[in-house]
Amino acid sequence: MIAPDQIDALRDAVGDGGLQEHAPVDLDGLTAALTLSPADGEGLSRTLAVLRNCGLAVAVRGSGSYAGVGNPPIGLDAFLSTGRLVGIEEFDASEGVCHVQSGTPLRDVRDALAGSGWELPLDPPGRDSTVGGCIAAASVGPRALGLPCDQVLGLTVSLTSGERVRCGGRVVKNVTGYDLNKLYSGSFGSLGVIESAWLRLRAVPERSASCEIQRSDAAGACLAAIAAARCVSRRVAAIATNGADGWRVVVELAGDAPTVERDLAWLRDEYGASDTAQEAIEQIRDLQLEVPAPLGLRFRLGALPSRLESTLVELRAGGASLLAYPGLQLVYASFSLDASPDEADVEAIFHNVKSVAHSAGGGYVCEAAPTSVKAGRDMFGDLGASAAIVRALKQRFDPTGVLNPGRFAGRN
Amino acid sequence: MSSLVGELESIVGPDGCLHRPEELLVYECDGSTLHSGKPSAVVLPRSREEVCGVVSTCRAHGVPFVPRGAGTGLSGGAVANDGAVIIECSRMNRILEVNVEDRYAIVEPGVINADLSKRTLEHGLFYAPDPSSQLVCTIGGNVAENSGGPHTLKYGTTTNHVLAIELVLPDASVVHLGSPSGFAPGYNLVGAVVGSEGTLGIVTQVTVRRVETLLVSFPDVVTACRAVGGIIESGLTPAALEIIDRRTIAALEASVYAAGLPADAGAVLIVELDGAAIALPSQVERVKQISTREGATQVEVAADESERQRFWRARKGAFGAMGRLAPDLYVHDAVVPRSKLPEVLDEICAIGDRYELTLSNVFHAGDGNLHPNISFDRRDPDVLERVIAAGSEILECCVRAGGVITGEHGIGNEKREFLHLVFSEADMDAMKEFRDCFNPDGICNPGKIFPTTRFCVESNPKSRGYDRIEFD
Repeated sequence: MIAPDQIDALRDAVGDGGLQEHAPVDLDGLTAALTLSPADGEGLSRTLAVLRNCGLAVAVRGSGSYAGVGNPPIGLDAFLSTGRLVGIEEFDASEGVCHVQSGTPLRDVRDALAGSGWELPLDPPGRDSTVGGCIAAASVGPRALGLPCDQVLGLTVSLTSGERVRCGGRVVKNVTGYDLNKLYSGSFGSLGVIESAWLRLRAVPERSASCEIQRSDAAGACLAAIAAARCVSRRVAAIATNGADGWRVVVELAGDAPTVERDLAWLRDEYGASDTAQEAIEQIRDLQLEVPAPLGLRFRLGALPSRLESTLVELRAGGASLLAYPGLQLVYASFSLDASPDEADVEAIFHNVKSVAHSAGGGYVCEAAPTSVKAGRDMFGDLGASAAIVRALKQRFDPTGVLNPGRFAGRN
Repeated sequence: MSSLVGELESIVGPDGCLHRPEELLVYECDGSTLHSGKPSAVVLPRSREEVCGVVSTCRAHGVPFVPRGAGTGLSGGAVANDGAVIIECSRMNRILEVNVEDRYAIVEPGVINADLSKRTLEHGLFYAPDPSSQLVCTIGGNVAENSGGPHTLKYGTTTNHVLAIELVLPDASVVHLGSPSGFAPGYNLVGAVVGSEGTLGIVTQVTVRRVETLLVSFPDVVTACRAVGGIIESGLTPAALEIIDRRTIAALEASVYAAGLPADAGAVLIVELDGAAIALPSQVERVKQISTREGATQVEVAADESERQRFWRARKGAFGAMGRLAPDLYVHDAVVPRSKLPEVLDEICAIGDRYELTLSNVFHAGDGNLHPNISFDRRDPDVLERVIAAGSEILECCVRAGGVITGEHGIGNEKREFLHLVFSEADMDAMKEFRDCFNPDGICNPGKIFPTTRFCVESNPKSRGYDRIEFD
């Protein structure tokens, strides 16, 4: 419960219209009835300083598409929204870079870039995804060019100390100081709140084309998808389970026209690819956020190409619906649960995913799970020997636990 | 000290521990002779276990330690401050695994950059980051500095190619970060450790990514920076865009690196394109058109691999050829937005003239990564002060243009007092908090990156018969 004088202090800090009281909203067992929406970086840093001084805790939100990711919070007094930190501060067409406020929806950035010859290389699922949310969640989608951190040139981040700090810059090559862009990216707002980002853009391709390949077995689907992922002009290569038995491989090629035509012809000849509409890519992206009703689990795993087939087969045998991006070396697996899931069944799924992820050459994150399932489990898996460093970072950057306390890996 | 040396020898063997003054002399500097420091000893471990043993011993004696690869760095990052022990990883030079199917390799830190590409060439694969020193520099050093090179324009710097790291922490424990697939839960510590200049621990194993390529290249003589801007704006992404200026061309053509560059050119632009063979002819034509539009006087397309190698011999030999201009060379490193290159270069030339210095430019134009090179003879009275003062103005000029003070060489000792040009105290404090999570007592590579109160070029010049230079 927030005391009235704390509410007043927060109202002053967040600025006009930035404090909204509402009905309690649940987050994995805790509720908050207050949302703080600072309108600029100064308001954000003031708000964080007040939160820290008052010993309060917040859940940080962009559009909310990844709001359910994480362990249950160990404190929650309010939500902190980046929804009013919006706008494109600068777009330099000669450089192919832009500076964007963190709460800006990606679709607004795409609209602003339309016709410029440049496009955004971020492609998170979630129709309303924001720039800051995408970076903080390390969220990728079918058209992503690697992880978001690979496209981040510089960040301004508000810390709970009330300081606004920068790392990186606006230039495309930079080793000045530690590369803390990498640290904040994917940290789910557990160390600081991203206020704005300098992003690298990519040139709009001269030509793009999409095609689809159907296969009845995982081996055939993996063969075709890995081959497609290694095409020079590959922008999307995705495998998805298709109904009960089949697999669909969805490919988008993009680049200079001769290369796209050559790669398309090769996929048709070698793998029987047929043309498909661009909507297939949207369908694939939407699959990424799907969780089976009424209850379900969704995992994200890393998987090397040589282990992709066995990864898909083993997860499929465990009852998973699957989506994989071989080019990004990622697999998304979702499992249906009964309305009152049996603990042994849940444990078997976690055990299976952990074992498969280990064999596949990467770790896993459980991106969606009912609160009851989260109890007693770390949604980020085992951190191994790096757990002490992760804990130390949380302690140093957020010593009082203002930002998403308990939700990050290692329950930090 | 003899007790320390004895204990170190018991770990790495007598032939793995250098401690006599004449043995230590070459370890006083890295590739830049402006900054130096005398190590207490140099150890050459052969394994992770030996590294742990050395770190543990140094800690027990309260002696700091500094990791070092081949010593080709240019910012003093591997120089021993405070009488540190240098841990040189050159004997840890095994390529442990090359996985062609999954496109990764696991290597020890002492593996030489170019050797990795050589080893994988038979599979049509190469390791993309290619600093000029790639024939001798090591992957461990590349990780420490987040090294770049000409081809980083398209393929990224070292950070884009490191999937996992084994790190010996300053408390002698071992931590594994990342995974071969590149996906690991928790903070992205691999990305944050790359480029940390050996201040967080000692990398003892690296898992790296590679790419496939076909290569076609051609040189272009232009008012080069405008052409570079035109090429980038056209949507092309060449593998490399490199500029060599007139003074460097003259030095090159008089040297063993002579490549037949046009003697009357004001600058040469090397453009390398790669990708699907079917697409390259049209890309070459577009580059020709843009270059001609911007004022190119001659366009030459490499007819074969040997000609391509000739162009690159010029680019990669440029720093060696500088030896013809003067006995000493200060290689600067800064980045500006590409669109600011023409005006920044004008200003840099004016700074060189004002300080009466010989200044030349060889640089990664596509990235906006400048390398203004100052050739000088430190025996000349007052020249070091002028070199340092000019360097300082060059950095300030780049930062004013929206740039930063290093693109690939790192901060090290060299630029620590300039970090405030880019970052506030609060920015630097956040970075120190990060460092302290790995290296809380500063025993690992002390005095690097962050400003200190003892700003001086510890050029140790007395051992070379030169005067020591100190700055306020």
